[in-house]
Amino acid sequence: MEPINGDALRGHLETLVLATLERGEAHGFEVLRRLREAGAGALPLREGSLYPALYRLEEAGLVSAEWEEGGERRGPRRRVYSLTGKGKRRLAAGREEWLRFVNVLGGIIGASG
Amino acid sequence: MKEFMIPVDRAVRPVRATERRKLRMRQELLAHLTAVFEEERARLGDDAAAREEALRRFGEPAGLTRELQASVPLLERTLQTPVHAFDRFRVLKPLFCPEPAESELRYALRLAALWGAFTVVCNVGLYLVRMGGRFPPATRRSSSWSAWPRSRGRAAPSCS
Repeated sequence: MEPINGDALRGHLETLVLATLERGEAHGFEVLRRLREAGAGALPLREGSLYPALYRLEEAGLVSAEWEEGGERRGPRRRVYSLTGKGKRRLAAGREEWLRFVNVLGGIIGASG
Repeated sequence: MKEFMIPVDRAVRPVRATERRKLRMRQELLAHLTAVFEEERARLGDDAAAREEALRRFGEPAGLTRELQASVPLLERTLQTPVHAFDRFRVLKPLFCPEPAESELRYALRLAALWGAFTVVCNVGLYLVRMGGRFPPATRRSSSWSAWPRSRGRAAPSCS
């Protein structure tokens, strides 16, 4: 699939992350894996950019984060992110806004003849 | 894993934030890069190619620094901004810090001498300013108490 233009994605990354976390708590790498999987290779993400987005969401109280409990995994520690109640409400609002956007622009851009 | 510390540190070090926040950024980004590397190694079967691909996916450290900076709250960002006006006083720091092999007694005496010298310099400076005429001696000044009765036509108030 052709990659989506990066400009078209701007402003949607945070809603995309919230939607990904709706499927369950995850650490950064897993969030990215879910995004890649859902985007079928069409989402051109610089992977480092995900973390500033997660930090902004956490600062706004839309996600909460905790350090992963030490298990069998070796290597640096990871933080596990989960959606808060406020995050769920923001996601619902983001979805409505997106549908309105698609309906309005789809009617104009997608109209034929 | 050590080779990934360099790009992570390049991205995180310039960020104006508390050390605690930066440590967290370092740990998370390092964990991410390591996971990407392992994924790519399993896919490509070659360490060097996997490393290259992991770094490409990670993105440019300079761009990441800007994004990380934007995620730091404004107050924290402001408090962590260095004040360059204070940099010039750093040359004085060795004077007031103990030298590596210096005994405590010698350090105490050196500090006392420094503060003594500082006090003398301040006092001499003040004396020179006063002698320069900005503050004429009291005998040459007209006292407001002695001028007051004549100027107002009333007797000066008595202290007794």
